[in-house]
Amino acid sequence: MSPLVERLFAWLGRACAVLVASVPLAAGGVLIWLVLRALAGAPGAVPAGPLPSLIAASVGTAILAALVGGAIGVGCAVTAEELAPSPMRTAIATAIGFLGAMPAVAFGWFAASIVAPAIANAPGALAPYAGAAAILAAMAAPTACALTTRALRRMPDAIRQAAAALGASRLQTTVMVLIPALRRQIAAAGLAAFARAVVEATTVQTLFAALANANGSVSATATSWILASATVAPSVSVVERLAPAALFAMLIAFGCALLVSREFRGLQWA
Amino acid sequence: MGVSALAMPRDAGSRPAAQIAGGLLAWISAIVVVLAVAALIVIVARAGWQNIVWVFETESDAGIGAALVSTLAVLGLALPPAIALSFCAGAAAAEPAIGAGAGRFLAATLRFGPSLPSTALGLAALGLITANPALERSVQANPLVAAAIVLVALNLPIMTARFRTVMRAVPPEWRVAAFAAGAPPVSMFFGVVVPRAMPGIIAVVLHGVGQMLGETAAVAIVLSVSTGVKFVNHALTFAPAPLPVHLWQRLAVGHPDPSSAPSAASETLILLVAIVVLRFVGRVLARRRRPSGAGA
Amino acid sequence: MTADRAASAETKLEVADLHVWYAKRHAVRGVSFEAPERKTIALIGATGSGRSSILRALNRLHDLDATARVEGSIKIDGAEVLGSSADPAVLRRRVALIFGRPATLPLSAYDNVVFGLRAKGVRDRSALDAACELSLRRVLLWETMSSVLNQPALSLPLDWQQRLCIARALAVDPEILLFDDPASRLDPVAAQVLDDILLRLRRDYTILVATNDLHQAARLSDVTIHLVDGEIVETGETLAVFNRPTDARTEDFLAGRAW
Repeated sequence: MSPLVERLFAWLGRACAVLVASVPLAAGGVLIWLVLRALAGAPGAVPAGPLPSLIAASVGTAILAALVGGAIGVGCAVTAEELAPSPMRTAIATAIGFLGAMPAVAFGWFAASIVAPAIANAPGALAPYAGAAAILAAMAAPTACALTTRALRRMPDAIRQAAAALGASRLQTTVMVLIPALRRQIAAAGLAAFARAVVEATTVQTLFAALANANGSVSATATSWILASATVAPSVSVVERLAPAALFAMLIAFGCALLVSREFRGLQWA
Repeated sequence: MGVSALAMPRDAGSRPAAQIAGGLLAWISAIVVVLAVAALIVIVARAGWQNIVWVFETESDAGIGAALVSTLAVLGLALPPAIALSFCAGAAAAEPAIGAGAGRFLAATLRFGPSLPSTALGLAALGLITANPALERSVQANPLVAAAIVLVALNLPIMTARFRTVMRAVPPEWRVAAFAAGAPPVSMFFGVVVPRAMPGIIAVVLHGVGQMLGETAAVAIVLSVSTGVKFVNHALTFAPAPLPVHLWQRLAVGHPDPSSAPSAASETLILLVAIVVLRFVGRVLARRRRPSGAGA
Repeated sequence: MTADRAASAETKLEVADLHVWYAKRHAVRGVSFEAPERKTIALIGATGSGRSSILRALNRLHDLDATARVEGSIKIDGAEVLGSSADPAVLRRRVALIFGRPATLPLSAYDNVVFGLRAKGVRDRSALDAACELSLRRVLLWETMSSVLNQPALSLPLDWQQRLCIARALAVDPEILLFDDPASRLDPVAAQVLDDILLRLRRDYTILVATNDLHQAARLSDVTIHLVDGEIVETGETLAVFNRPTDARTEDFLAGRAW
């Protein structure tokens, strides 16, 4: 390549790097600007209405989804990587990969068509949250599975061979050696599952829409906080009202991502 | 098969109950996932197969033809710039000799940037749009272009991070060998890194297509400006919404039309088939392009 | 300490007060020497003495290491090469480095050999073919490999890969060859073949060889430099250094005594 082409591509790459890096920063900046503008318009007022209860509902549901989805995802990863024979391994990888590739709106259809009818007449105010947690668990499981798989694959084979040489079965090696050695990374996988669940809006919104249609109204606070309180046309006021929730969701997602990234950088054999 | 793995040797280690419980949990999780996914596929296939309405109407409650055309149009607008920008940015982040300080800055943001929630980006975009009347009119006049821009912005950090990962997976000693042979950085990148990383690059591109194909929230939030009506409590009434948004309209909050349930199933089926086809094509292409070291 | 200049040869390479740091580790401490044209210099010393660091500084491979810092002066034909005005890519084609572990690229054997030429901008197929044949003949590989040039280079035996790397370096017509313990991964027979190749090459090139093999150093080199902990402790004509070392540390090293 000529020196001119070399220089041009290098500068192009740097310009693209700055552009890509600015996307999340710009989004955060705009949300902060919206919040500040709303506060400036009504000093001392919380821009969004039932924000604390929305946060509590969303975080609670996401924690439940992360516990269930994380356990399922970790279990799938451990089975596929360490315990299962080859055909089963393929089936697990295909199934979990399919779940991971499914768009949120497709989960929304399942939420509306299967979960909502199942819980529409369930007693108790927590039934909608349980339904939301079930769907979110299915969405979060592939995330936990992928991270756990990555951690297991980075384990040197020498460790497995050493355990086998001492008479341990595959199950013993997995439970007594690998999982304890990777407990931080497995916890990080659970955290990533939580992050996946807590920011999900579309699927939960369709579930609650279906419940509202079935019951006439939904008394529970919707967990899709970002879209939950929108009742007017898109305008400055509705955007400002939702901006704190969006900003909060973004900060949670970024914080979880940084923590997960730190655990995997700390993987000594990575 | 798995039962033998659960069998304990006579001189078993400590806490055999915990080991058995752990093994059972792992196996049950895997079996549940496999059976559940199989069941979901059967359910959506049965519900959707017979209800595909290939009507190229412009009303959103009609067939999905218009939605598919809109989807293809948005993908056609969004994919080329997304791939080009993220590939160049990924190269800058993966190769210090190319990216220098900008590459290091990008690498730092890639630790959290890909996790940007789509609804947060959509709302930020909506905030910018509603604050600027000229921009709002522009979005109303060109909704699909606006949707494409949002998709590009949303997928840039994700695709860049993935490109960077596959490029960095090329062994560093090959880079050093190329440099030692006198290759400048960009020549080294295209002569050694790109050919070796090609299966991964193809996978990233196809993954990006899948992500854009299924993106709903951010696009729906931005497109709501086009109608000036509620983006939650009523179905959008303008015609050209991409397929995921079109599907989401049928499932929208408040008053989803019961008669549209079969169409929703068919649209879900089409989305899932598209995803499966993309993954299959990606695997085939990756296998064919797997380098053997013979010829650049 | 500086090496004595050979009476009849011009100075091809001048190194003055060279320092190399890796983060806080001072790997090369004020090394100065001169390499006459078409002479072979052996760098000997224990592991960590700075031999590889010196070679990498000569063709600016340290530029790729964010933790490395190089100070001092390196001149080739009187022109400074450490400054920003010198193009590292051009320098690396003039000063070719062959690593201890064969640095084979994941390409065919042919593409490996002509890689440097293509990076230089040569596109003419006949020119590439001619350069490939000439280079492979010089490393005694043409007869065995001429019919299998499209074979993946990584599938070749290790000693062939090393010779392929030398051929790749020769194809761009360098002026100086740097060998960083080239036979360290090879069996004795393959190492002997490599020595024979180097003996042929020393007629045409200025060569610096960092080696743990004292026999190789004695056979190949005109000048020997002994390094300890990043500093030159003895230098001179090879016969003199090996037969009558003036520094006790060199005497101990040659005798295999730890100190």
